[in-house]
Amino acid sequence: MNLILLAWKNIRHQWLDTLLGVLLLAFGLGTISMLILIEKQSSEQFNRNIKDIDMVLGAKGSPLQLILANVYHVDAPTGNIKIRDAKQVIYNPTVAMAIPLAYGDNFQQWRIVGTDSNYAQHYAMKLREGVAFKEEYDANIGADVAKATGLKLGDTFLSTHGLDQTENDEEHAHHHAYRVVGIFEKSGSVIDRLILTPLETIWHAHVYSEPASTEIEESNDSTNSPPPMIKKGPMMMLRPAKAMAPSPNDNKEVTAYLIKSRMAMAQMILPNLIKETNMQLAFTAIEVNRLSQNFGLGMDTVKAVAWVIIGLSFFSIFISLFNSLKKRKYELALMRSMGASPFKVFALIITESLLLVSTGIIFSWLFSRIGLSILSHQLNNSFHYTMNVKDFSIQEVYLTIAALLFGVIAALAPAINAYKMDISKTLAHE
Amino acid sequence: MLTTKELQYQYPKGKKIDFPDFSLQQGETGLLLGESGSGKTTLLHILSGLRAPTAGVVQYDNTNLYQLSSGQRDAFRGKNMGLIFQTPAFIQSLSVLENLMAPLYLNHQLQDQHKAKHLLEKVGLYHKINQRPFQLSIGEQQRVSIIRAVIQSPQLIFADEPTSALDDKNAHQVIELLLNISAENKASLLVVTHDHRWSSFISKTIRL
Repeated sequence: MNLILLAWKNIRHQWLDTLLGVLLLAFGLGTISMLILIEKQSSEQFNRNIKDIDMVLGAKGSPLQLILANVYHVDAPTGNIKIRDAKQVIYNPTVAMAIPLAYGDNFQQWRIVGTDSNYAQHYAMKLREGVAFKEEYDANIGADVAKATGLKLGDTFLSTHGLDQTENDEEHAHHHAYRVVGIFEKSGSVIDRLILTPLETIWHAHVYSEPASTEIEESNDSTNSPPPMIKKGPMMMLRPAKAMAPSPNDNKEVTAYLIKSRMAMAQMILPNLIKETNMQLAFTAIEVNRLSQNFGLGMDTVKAVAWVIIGLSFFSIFISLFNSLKKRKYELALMRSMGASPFKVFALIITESLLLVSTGIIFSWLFSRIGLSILSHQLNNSFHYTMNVKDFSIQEVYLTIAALLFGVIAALAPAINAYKMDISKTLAHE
Repeated sequence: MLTTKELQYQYPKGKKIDFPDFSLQQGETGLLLGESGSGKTTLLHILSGLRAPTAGVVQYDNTNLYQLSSGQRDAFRGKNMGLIFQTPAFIQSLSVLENLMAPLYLNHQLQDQHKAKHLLEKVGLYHKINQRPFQLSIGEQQRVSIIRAVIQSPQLIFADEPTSALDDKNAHQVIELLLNISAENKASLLVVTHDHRWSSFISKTIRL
C-alpha cells in the first residue's frame, strides 16, 4: 500500500460522487486542447500555403473567396479573367512573380489545376517519381491525390467538369484522358491535394479548343506562350515590351494569378491599373488577417465556454472532496489514531484531487483527439484537408500543469480541514 | 509501563474531571469502569495521546507523553499503542487484509501479510480476507479491528467499550480473543467499559 494506491481506492470507492467533476474537466480541457491544436495546425497550413504570395489577381467578387479558392483551394473561384487584361498587372515592374492558375475540372473531386512549372517550384515540390509535365494532358499529382485515388505513374484518367462532381457523373465527363507523368513527394502544401497540368490542357478541354499541336508549335514562340512567370532581377524592373505585345493567347482565360510583389509600392500602384476592369487584386495579408479575426472570434467564444466548464469542474471537484471529507471524517480520524501524521492525511486529500485531475486530463486528451479526428474527417470530405491527430502542442503541457495546480488549489481547503481535525472529538462523535 | 499522575481535564463548556492515579505493568490487564458521562472515553483518549489533559502526567516508561510534540505523539501512538473502538471502524475503500496492513503503512513499517493472515485464520475469518469491512457482521468486524490493533505488536492495547454492541456469544468470543491476543503479544490491556461481562475475566479495576 502507498499513498497513491490508497487515494485511488478512495476515489474508486466513491466514483459516482466525483464522476461529474472529472467529466466536466475532461470536456473543458479537451475542448481547449482541441482548439489549441486546430489553431496551431491551421496557422501552419495557412503560412505554408501563402508562402510569399502577396496578392491574387482574379475576377471580381469576394476577395476572401478569391484567396481561399486560389491559394488554399477550398472555395469556388470567382470567375475567369482574360490574359490580355491581366498583362498590365503581371508585367508591371513592381511584380516579381506571377503564377497563372486555370481550373474548373476534377478527378474524383480532386482539383485539376492548369499552371506552369513555376507553381511547383514556388512550393519547392519534389517529384517522388516520374517527370514534370510537359505536354498537354500530362499530369503531376500530389501525394494525397496519389494515396486517395491510387493513381500510379503511367495511369490515365478522365476528368469531370466542375470542382465537386464525382467520377460517375458521365454527363459532365471530358473524353480526353490525362496521363500521370509524375507524382510529388508529400510537402504539407496545397499541392499535395492537386493535380497539376499545363495551362494548355485546361484551354483545350474547355472553350479554347484549338488543336493541341498548334499551341505546342506556337509555344515555341515566346510571345505566344502563356504569360510566363516574371523572374526576379534588375532586368525585369522595366516593363518588357515584347511580353506586352499582342499574342495569340491574349483572349484565353485563366482563373487567377498568384502574385509576389517586388516592392511595397505595388499595393498602391496595381489596384489603380485594374479599376475599370472586371478584375480585382486580393491582398493575402489583409484577407487572411480578416479570416483569422473571424475565425479567432469563434474560437475565443468556444474557448470562453470551455474555461467556464473547467471552472465548474474544479468547483465540482472541490465540492466532492468536501463532501467526501464529511463522509470520511471518522475514517481519517481513525487513520490518525493509527499513527498517521496530520501531513499524511493532508497529502492524501491532495493526492486524491491530483488523481481526479489526472484522470480528467487523460480523458481530455482522448476527447480532444477524438474531436480532432471527427473534424479531420469532415474537412477531408469537404476540402481534402486533414488534421494531424497525433500532433502535440507545448501549450497542452502548460494546460496540464495549470490543471494540476488548480487541482491542488481546489483540494487545499478540504485538506487543511483534514489536517486540523480534532481526532478525539471526531472519534468520540462530539 | 504506564503511569498516570494527577490527571485533570476541563471540558471547554462543562465540568472538570480529576482522574485517579493508576499504573499498568507490562502484560497486565485492567478494567476502567464508570457510569456514562464519567469521562471514561476522555481518559482513554488522554492516555492514547489523542486529547491533551488540562493538567497531569501520562508516563510510558521513560517517556512523558505530553512532552512530545504532536507529530512525535502520533508516531509514538502508532508504534506503541493499539486502539479498539466501540463501533468497529475501517477504511471502507480497502479490503479486510488491506485494512490490516494500513497501520503498518501509516507507521512506515514493513507490510508483511503473514501475521495478518495467520491471525485471520485463527479467528476463522481467513475466507473474508478480500471482502470489504461492510460485508462482515458486527462481531466479525470487531474481531478484525482487534487484529488490526495488534498487527504491529504494540505494548499497550486500549479498548473502548469493545463488547457493548455485541450479543453474549460474540462478546465472549471478543473478550477471549482480546485477552489471548494481548497475552501472546505480552501487551498491556486496558478496557474501558460498563459491560459487566468483563468483570469475571479481569480483576484489576480502576473506577471513575
